[in-house]
Amino acid sequence: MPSTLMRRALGLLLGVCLLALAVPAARAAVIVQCPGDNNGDADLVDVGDTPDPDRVVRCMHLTGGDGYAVMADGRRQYTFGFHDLTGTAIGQVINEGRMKANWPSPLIARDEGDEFFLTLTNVGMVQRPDLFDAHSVHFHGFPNSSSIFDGLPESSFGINMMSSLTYYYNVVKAGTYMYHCHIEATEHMQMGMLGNLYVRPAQNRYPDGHPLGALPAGKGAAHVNGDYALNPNQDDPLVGYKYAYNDGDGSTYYDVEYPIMMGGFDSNFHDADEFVQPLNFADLEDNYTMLNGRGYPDTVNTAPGAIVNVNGFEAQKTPSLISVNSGQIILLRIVNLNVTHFWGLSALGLPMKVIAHDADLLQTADGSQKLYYLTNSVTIGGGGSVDVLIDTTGLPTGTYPLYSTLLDHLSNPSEDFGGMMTEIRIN
Amino acid sequence: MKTSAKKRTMRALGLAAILILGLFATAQAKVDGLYNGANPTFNLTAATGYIVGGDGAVLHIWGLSPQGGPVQYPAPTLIIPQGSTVTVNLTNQLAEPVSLVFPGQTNVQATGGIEGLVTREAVPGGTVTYTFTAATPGTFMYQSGSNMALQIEMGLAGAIIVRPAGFAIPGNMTAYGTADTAYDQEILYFQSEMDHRIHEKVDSGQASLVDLTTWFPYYWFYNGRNAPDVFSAAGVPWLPNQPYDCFPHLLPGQKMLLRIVGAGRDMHPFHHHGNSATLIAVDGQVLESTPGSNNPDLGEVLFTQPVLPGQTRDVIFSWNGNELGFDIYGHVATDPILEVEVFAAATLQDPLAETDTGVNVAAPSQGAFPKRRAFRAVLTSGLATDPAREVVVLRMDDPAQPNILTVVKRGQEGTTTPASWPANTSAVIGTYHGQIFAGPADNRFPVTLPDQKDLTMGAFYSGSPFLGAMGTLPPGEGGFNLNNGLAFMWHSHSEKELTNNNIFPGGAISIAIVEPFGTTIEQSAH
Repeated sequence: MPSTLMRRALGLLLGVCLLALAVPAARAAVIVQCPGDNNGDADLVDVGDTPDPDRVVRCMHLTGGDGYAVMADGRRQYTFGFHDLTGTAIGQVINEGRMKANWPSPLIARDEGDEFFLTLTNVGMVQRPDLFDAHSVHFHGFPNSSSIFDGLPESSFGINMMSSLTYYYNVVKAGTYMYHCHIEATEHMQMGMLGNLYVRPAQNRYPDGHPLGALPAGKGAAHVNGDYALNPNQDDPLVGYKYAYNDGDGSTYYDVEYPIMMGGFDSNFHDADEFVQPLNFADLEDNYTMLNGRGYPDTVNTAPGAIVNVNGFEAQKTPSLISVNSGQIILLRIVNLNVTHFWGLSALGLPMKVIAHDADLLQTADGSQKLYYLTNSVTIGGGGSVDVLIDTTGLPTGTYPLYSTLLDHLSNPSEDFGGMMTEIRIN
Repeated sequence: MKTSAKKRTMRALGLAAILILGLFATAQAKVDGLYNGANPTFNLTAATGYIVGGDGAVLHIWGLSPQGGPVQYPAPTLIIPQGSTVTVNLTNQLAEPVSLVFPGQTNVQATGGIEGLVTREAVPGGTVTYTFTAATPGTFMYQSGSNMALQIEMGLAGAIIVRPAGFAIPGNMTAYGTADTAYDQEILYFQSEMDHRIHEKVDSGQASLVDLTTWFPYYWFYNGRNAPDVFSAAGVPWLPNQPYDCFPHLLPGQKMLLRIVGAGRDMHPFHHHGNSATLIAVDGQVLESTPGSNNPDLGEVLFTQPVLPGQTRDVIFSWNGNELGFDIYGHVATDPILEVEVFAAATLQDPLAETDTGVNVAAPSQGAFPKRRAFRAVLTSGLATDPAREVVVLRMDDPAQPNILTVVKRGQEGTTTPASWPANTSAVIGTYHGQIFAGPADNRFPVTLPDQKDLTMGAFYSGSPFLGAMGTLPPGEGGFNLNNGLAFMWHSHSEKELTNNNIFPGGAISIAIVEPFGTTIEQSAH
């Protein structure tokens, strides 16, 4: 017996020693992974960077943390959010990222064929030092996803404070998606970790002159691509004709695009989070309703630096004023990332042509027939997306409201005539 | 007596087996319910009972019990062969009249009982009988037709599944009798919610004082359970009145039919992680351009299903992970290429010459090659185990000439270009099979994961990005994903519903697991 015990003890000791050897030293640090980026700032434009000309590598560096937003009635709201620090040196990321939560989170717009390396650094919660929450990025709706890069903490993990995690996405399907943090989803999403995300189609890079039979009137019968190059790295997808989807016929042509995120805040919840009070999940009910993180009339205020938070930081960078010339076609990429409500959105006086639901072009299963439809309003639940084309050809110039059809929520919240509304101006 | 001792032993073993199954059986994707063959009779009793919330709360309900069984929340799922004459005998043990209606069924005849507002009702202690013919296949529901706002809130609602003619498990599993509605696995999502304050009032004998205008739910259910109870196996003894689980499992490439029932009063956006899925039918009606064809060519591909009150949705989900940019199956290059890893395949038109900068392919025999974006492919003789494969990155530069694919790169990432094309190459297969990345030898993953001490891990994390692989996890981590599958949350995207009466997480959460090949997944019995 003693010898057995001894053997076991020795075995255990050996095991512990091996384990100690196997575990690498802790290395909590900001680490950017971006092939070809040699100085760690997550871009490929510096002298010394060596991007592979035959890979379409795109990189981005987001920080996750806390901050403040200001509502249209002037009320301060504590938020969680992401901030874009692509191009910032590694050593400055923690300082630059602190208290810089954006609302909504920075736009991510990519192209089919991109290899997207997205680094997330958790800079911690300055206002809530008692919290040690991890963060993640969930690409909501990305087809055939992996669970390791899904951002779902149950099936993978979140990144702890002062550390970085790089997600990898092979971007293959055009459409309007959204992204958000999935850690403690109800809290982190209500607190504002929600972003617009869309993918432009490879059709934008078709050769100049490629025949397309359903282009809008006056646009000819063929694709126009002034900077066409065999290598997608040299072909700007925004030069020439642009489409919402790989429609095969040009029927989703547009001139200007606007991501529109329907959302809202429950001010009681945000105040409780700011002042370290118990969170009331059960009674969550948004009283501030917003488009792209602003209530009307802030939605139409496009002056740079006009909306700054209590720290003087421009956290809400996304106005929703839609300003076009008569005859242009508008693409609205509408998502609902609200955690409590279905929302409707209506463009009074403008025909809305719905071309896609949930990043999928409306067509028959064999692709032979398009199933677009005209409507006056769209209703979307949390986590849904709709693409709408508005052709302004022949419409009177002027200002048209784009507003929530839940009229009782058009306020900020005790100030009437605000909330989830913006303007479409046809010049 | 010998036999009784043997029986006792058998019972004890059976109990042990049930307990073990209850704790460990996870690989199932099935719809449980009552099945009484063709032309069935269902004897159901409306009675009071109690269920357990995900937070441990005891909630009073009114439910239906099958003959000799406990009261159930939700009411038993009735599984019926198409064309059957169905008889439902409803006995009322509640203190007020009760009845049943069958939305989506026509010519429902009610006999016995008393005349009610919308159908004949059973008085307390009495019985009423409904008969109808289950004429068309699909997913339906049935619910109380008396004092509905209260009785349905209390739990008097359930699902009806009508199997198409010729249906067989296994062999001919379809939702609507056609190849385009075929599936490999199925799961029910009976979605309901509850305002427990109403249930407390009713429990204390104050049903008449319930104010339904202030209804505000605090619990959200899939198949009558809140998370995390949805993960316990169907029929576990500690949830006697909530016999149905909600824990879907499927294999890569398989089709899973989701039968979604909006049984509550609120709209719920139901988001399935992992992939978009095709809505093939609403309210038992196939989304078809040719009436009566049951070919869902008007089906919609969605990543969030808006589930509306009173609506049923049939949705087909599948997952293959074949364009992730890395090989999620964790293969090395010489492993056989699996069908699900291939997103496009075609034979070569011309033999390859050393100077070729492009390949000329026939019309694809599978999928379609992406247009105007680079993709990875292997050139092989078409044999799954052909060792003479070459990895290439190809790009269709002119979609007007889809048979010409430019060679962007030859050889694996981080290696030098091979000296010559492999001999006898006859096919181009679009796949990320055996993909390696620059870096350490045999690096099969595009990034380096952070040190585990920098991560907060979840219970379904296997420790590895690859399907079926288990990585090293710190003590106490993992454990909910026995076969190291890929876990995807299927949940309400009204995220406030991921709670049990103010406690996060809970409520309308479920997890679907894409299991590694070889995992046995239990099917529906009928």
